[in-house]
Amino acid sequence: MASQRMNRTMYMVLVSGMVLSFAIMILGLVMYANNPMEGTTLPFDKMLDGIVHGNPIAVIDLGIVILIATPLVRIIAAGITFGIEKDYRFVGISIFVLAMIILAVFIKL
Amino acid sequence: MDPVTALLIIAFSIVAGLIGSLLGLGGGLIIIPALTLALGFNMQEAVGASLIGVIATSTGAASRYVQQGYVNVKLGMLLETTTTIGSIIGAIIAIYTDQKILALVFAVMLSYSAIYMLRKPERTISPASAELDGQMLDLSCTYTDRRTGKDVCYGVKGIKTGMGAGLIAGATSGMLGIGGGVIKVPVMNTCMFVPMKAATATSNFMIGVTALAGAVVYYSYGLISPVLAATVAVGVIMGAFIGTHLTLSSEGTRLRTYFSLFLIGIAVLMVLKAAGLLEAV
Repeated sequence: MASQRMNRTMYMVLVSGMVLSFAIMILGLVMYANNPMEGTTLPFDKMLDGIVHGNPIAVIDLGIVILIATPLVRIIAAGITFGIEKDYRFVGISIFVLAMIILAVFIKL
Repeated sequence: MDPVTALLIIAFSIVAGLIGSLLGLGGGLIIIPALTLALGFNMQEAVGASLIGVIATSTGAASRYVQQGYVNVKLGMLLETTTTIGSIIGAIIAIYTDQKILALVFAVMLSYSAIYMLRKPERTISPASAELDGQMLDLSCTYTDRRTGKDVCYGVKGIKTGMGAGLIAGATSGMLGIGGGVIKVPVMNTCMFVPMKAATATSNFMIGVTALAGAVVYYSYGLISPVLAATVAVGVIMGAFIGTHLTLSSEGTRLRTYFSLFLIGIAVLMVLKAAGLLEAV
């Protein structure tokens, strides 16, 4: 049976990721509308530097990174919650899924 | 990007988010043709934006579905093991296979599931009967149907079949660049006896993970156009907000019919793609 704790944890992770990325992307898009510029996705250090200097693309990138990170954090949070509930079979399953995603990224890179 | 294009992108994305969240799909099959055929973006920009759009649909829709108890988290996690392996295999064999033949095979599979779902009524089983069947894991789950106010308690059978199908769903998404929700939902609903609303909610929960690896790779190669992707994501999240409300208040059987009709539409698109009449899917 699905536990209340698991549903609550998944909800917190997903809703925080959604609200945060949505708000930051809107902010970035408004900044971009006032100050259009060319630009592609930036590496992490340049992105943080760009945000400090008010670069709209860097702000949008931050929103995108938070959105991409949400399913990743969700898998880790699920693994930890299964651990708290002593459901070790599913802790293993969560770790396996995480490992496959890392493997997929490396193969495609 | 001019304001008219921006508004059109948002409008298309709202539709993609709405349909995606309603039917348990990523919405890539709407976003990619809309961006390439209607708005003239190139395929790479469109795929990059679509990957972000799929994660946005998944996050937006699943947050509400999980809060309402419709998502079967254990089932989702279990199927993610084979969908992720499948996507790796798919990405590798895609290099050696003909996209046209793949699209045709896919069209046949989709038509078969659509006809099956239209003709056979939904069947669900009780947790007790799943247990009697000697399934390897207990994936039973309960949710309260908001429309009827009744608790729906169901058992899950055919776990091995489901995991096998997850492998195929993952491989297809690796090969054809689509989310795989079109395979996961019918499999959960017909082979695993998961009620339609729980199947679409669980599929929405899973597709973000399917798109994750692709999104990371696209991001690190700088293949994502930030303004386009963010505009799509914002629209999709708004669409998912509307779509999840519609799902919660609609009948499971009606969802099943909409889903089957949508599958037939995609099958037609795939045949067109195989015939070389449509490049942008």
